[in-house]
Amino acid sequence: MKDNLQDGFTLLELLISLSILSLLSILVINGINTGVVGSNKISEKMESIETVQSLDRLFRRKISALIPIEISDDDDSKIYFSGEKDGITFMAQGENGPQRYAILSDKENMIRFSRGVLQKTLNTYQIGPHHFSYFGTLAGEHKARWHRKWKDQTNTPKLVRLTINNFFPITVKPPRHIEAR
Amino acid sequence: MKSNDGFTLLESLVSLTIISSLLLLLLQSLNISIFQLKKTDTTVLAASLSRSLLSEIGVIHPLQRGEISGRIGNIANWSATISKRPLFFDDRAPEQAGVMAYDVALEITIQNSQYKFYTVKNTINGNLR
Repeated sequence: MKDNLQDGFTLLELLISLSILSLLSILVINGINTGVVGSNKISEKMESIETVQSLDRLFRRKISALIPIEISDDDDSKIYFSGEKDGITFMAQGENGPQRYAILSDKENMIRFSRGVLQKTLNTYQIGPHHFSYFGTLAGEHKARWHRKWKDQTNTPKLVRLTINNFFPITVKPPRHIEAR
Repeated sequence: MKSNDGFTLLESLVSLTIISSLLLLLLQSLNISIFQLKKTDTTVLAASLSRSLLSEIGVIHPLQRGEISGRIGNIANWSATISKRPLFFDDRAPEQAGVMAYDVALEITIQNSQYKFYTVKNTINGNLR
């Protein structure tokens, strides 16, 4: 019996080796977990960076291509540009000539870019709370300041701003309407 | 004799060291990528902010020689130095020609990272071009 080397483990040995193994495996699992959480965070962050970058680019591109077109209503003429706290509709240079564009807060924390009379969606962005504002001088005012609304004016605002999360501004200078006389 | 002795202390130590150094390498690469990502994030934000601020200068903030500064939320500080650029047209001073050029140097600081942007703004008869 004593020469038989396949005695098996004693209970004590088994217990000790099991506890060491489990300790090690806890460490390894923890490490893997940290890695997974980290990589998830990285891809989340990457997505948010891409969203901000893409939104910044599209917003600037569209507002910079704005056409300060005049619409006449008898002798009352105004610029085709309507800005509110939660969206803008305007005319801009598109791929096939001037087109109507809308940048609207669709749902809470979401911005939708659309084109044409049928408002075909170009892109949507899931971002934080946001609002639009307009810098300029409204009819009857003497000094330029920020406005929440820009409607039925004879000129486009000097600046259009989209504020995200109540602090981060994307400010664009649209082309100015020059009165031809 | 069959040797079912198990590992020696030395063997187990060496193998443990190898395993742990491998794990360390893995975690380090994760750390590096997180650091790089943060840097990318602030660079993207700074680039976007610079475009916004540069379009505001001359509209909200007057184009005058000097320094203006501000703060954006609690993530970024900025300061812009505006200086007049000497220009001459047919021996006339730029004031007479009605054309002025201003150098704008914008500095944005986000979380200890500094970003610098430069541009030139022109005015004709006092109106921003």
